[in-house]
Amino acid sequence: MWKLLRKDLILNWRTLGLTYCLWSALWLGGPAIDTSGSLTFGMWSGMVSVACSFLPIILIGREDKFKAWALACSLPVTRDAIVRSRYVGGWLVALSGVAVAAAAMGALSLAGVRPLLPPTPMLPVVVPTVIGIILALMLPLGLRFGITGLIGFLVATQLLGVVLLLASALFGSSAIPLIESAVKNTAGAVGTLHRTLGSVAFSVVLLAAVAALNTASCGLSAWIFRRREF
Amino acid sequence: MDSALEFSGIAKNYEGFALRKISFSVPRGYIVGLIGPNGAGKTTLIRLALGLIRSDGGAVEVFGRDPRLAGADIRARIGFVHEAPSFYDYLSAERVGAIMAPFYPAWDQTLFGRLIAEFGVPPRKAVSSLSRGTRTKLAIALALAHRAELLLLDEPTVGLDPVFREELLGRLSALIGDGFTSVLFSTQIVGDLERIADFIVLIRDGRLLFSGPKDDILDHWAVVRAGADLSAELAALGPRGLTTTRQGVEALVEDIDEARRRFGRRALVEKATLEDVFLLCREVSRRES
Repeated sequence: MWKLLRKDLILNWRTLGLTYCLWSALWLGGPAIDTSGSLTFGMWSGMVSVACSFLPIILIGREDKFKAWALACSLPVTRDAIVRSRYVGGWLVALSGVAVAAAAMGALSLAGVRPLLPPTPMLPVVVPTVIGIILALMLPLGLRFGITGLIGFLVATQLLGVVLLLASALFGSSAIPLIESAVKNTAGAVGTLHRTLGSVAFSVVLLAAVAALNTASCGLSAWIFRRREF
Repeated sequence: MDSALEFSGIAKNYEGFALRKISFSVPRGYIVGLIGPNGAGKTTLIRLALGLIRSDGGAVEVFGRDPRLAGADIRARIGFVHEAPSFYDYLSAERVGAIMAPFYPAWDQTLFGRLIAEFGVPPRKAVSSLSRGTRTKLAIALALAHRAELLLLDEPTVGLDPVFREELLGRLSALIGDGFTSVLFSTQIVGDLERIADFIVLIRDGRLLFSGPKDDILDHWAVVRAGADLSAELAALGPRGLTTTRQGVEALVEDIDEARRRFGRRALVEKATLEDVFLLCREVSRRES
């Protein structure tokens, strides 16, 4: 798996580096949009985490672009190792993206150029949780259908959002009571769990849940990828 | 005979195409030429051997193991050249070699450097700027540099200049001299195989038409060219292929002596070449069926 990660790093470092720079520049403008003055560094990092979770698309997209899946699968590695390397690589790419953007924003914030409110102690939990959930949903599709699957996933979620917003605007929020109540109930349950367990135990439980979700997703992806033909 | 690669009744179904129960083997220390027209199923067989696709019946064994289950171990011992080699195009040949090297325990960096120099592959130019022939040369260098025990070559001579083709054929002949390395060489340029192959496998439309020693063909098979009036008599001989031409009929038969005895001066009987077999062979052999 480490050989595969090394290969991906050599193949993609330029594109990733360029993307990190553009990504960071884009997100550094984020606080300017906020007019309330209540944006914390933690909230900003959470938003950046959502965006950076999609950076691993670069790895899959370039594999598709160069028709290199067959090349990777004809190397002396197992399909499971390829899948594991995609998950580990995906995590590394997303976390590095957040780290680069956060370092830049931290410097600007401390210098007073774009001052943000200080982060809450939950920041180290929020970032991996966001990344973990998105990667767990996204990678099985990417490994089965390549970039087409990922674009399909993104378009489908966007379309779903548009439909829900339209429904909400046309018929009022009562048009989507099921989703609304599901979101409220989930948020309520998470809040209750947080209060009951306390921050430390809650963080451990949350991170363990994210790890379990990723392990399950990785298992599913390996099962799918073993059946894929090149 | 110990086999490096063995297909036993292998089947694979696609929409509009199917490989039908194909069986043949690649013995250790020999070159097997796999011939057939476009769409015959040559690339599908090679992909099955690499474990890139699953079969719908039968079995593939590489070094006695199923490539889908023991793929990583097996692929370390295989060198593979695709008909249209795909690389990460913006990398140089040198860089592609550096990426591949850690995956192969037997990788020989000195040999790789020597091969790309001998083949005239520019080491520092982006692969995207190389001609198709030069990309194939790079793929061949990569396949040879890890001292593979089994070379799977899918139309490797397409796009190569005649000088390098000759060099490649010579190199392959030398490789099997150790009695251990084996080669499966798929091609439509049958002249290449006439020089180096020990065995010939002919497939057409996913069906195996012939599998056997090349010398059997070159020593015993014949093409009989006769007037149309001999058509029925030739058909009675049970030819491998019978084609009507403007001049009469052409038949591919397995026994040149019998053909000469039966047709004497009534027909032109000539030793068959692999080209004749490729063009005329239509019937599944009674022996192989």
